[in-house]
Amino acid sequence: MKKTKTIVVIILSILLVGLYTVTSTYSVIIDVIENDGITEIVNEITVRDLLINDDGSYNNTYYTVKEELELTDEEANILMSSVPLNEALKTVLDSIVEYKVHDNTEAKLTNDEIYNLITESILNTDNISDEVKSRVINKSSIYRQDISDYIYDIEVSVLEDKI
Amino acid sequence: MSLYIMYFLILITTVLFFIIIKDKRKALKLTGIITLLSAILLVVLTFIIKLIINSSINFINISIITDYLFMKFVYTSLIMFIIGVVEILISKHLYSKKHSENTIAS
Repeated sequence: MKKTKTIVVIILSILLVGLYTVTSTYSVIIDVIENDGITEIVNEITVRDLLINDDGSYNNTYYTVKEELELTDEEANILMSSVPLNEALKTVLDSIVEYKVHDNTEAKLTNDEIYNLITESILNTDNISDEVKSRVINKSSIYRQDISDYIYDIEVSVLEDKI
Repeated sequence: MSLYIMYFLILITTVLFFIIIKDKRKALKLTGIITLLSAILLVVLTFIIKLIINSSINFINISIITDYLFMKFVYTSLIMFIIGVVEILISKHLYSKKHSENTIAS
């Protein structure tokens, strides 16, 4: 009888540990979703984060962009730290979250709107030569026709649906 | 909805615990240990998940996202840790109280 009781207590203990762990994990996920944690995370992302790996080294996108825009290390660094460019990135990321996560179709930015965001933010960036500015604007005009489709084709996983 | 079901299951399991174990102080101590273990398990699991995500996504720096989620899990486990410690301390206090009462009686 005592042995059976011990086994029941052990089973209940394991069950309780599992329940506590699963429930707390689930609570954190719900907290992130309900308290607009996605927007909070998105607001923290900068241009630099998109161009470096977790270990701090530059990723392939960085070298592709640098090569395509014929930038020096210093110019690339200025562009990555540019306040107007980072603000433009936030606008785009917020729009992606609104469109993909909250199903707000009105939040989708058009090709022209995205192009204008890039041109305005690059023109407002200080400490960069006019030549680089014009190179960025010229390259943006090449991709102008399908930039919106490219951006909004990014796969966004909605945790809420999976729970 | 399923969160409430889990809360209910925790409540039922805890009540069952206190019914099965006759010594309530022992039951309290055990639930305290369970809460502590769960807090530790949660941190370990979160750390493992963070490592897996960081090693599988190399094309951008996602440390902001993983750090944000990691801190949320750490806060949760810290609360659980404190609850567990408090439960153990209360049970210990009850044990010592009972022990001193027995000593006075004898």
